[in-house]
Amino acid sequence: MATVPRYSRDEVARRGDEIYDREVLPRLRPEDEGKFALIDVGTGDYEVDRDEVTASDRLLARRPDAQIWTRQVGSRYARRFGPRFKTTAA
Amino acid sequence: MISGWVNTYREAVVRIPVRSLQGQEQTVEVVIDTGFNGYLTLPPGLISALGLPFRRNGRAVLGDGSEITFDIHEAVILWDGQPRRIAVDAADTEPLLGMSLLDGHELNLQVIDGGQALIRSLQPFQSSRLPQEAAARSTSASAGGRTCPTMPSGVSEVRMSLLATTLASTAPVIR
Repeated sequence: MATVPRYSRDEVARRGDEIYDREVLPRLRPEDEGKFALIDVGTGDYEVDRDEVTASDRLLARRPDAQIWTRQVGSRYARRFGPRFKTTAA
Repeated sequence: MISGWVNTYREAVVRIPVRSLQGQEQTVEVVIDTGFNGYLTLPPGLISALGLPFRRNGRAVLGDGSEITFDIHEAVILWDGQPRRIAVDAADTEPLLGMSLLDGHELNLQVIDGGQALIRSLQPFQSSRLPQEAAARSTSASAGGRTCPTMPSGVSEVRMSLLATTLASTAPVIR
């Protein structure tokens, strides 16, 4: 069995954002705004759902070894704490 | 219904039982934060002590505009008396309860010292939220929809329909 490469946290972030822009963004619909996109940074496979745990279950069912990057659709982030700055692309 | 209180610092606090990997429950006091869009944060030390499994990473933007890449774990909590599987963010702060955990609920706060905090479900349970069925649902099925708490596997259909009936008769109707 091939060894699944384990990426560092920074690599997961970089690869995850790259796959999000390349694969997820072009396929999103208006009603996906605000949902969570979970990306397997090794294979590029992903799931989108309003509930993050549901998206995680579906992705892990297909990709049990996935290293997963999380984004909220319409945002650069998975989480926001506190105020939203107008100058920040949130 | 989940009830808590508003303290002298104007924080709304509720107590949430969190299950360890061994199935023991630890009750955690959490501050309700409507400016936080996640489910729950716990300090890394407590996540480790409870043995909560690591699941994935994400990026967070903090109150001062700075960014951080953080770890997301998974936990079963007792939510309104029912087991519910949620994402838990590792964050070095007092535990916070966020809007994803409140999705589908009504929050009422009496913002006075010693005032009441109340969280009530807005809708009955839907059996399609069982994990094994959730995996079979398409993403389009959740478009624009509200979420219900995720139930762990093993909950019988009979119990689910009884719960649905009970909640439907007590929950306020949304027009």
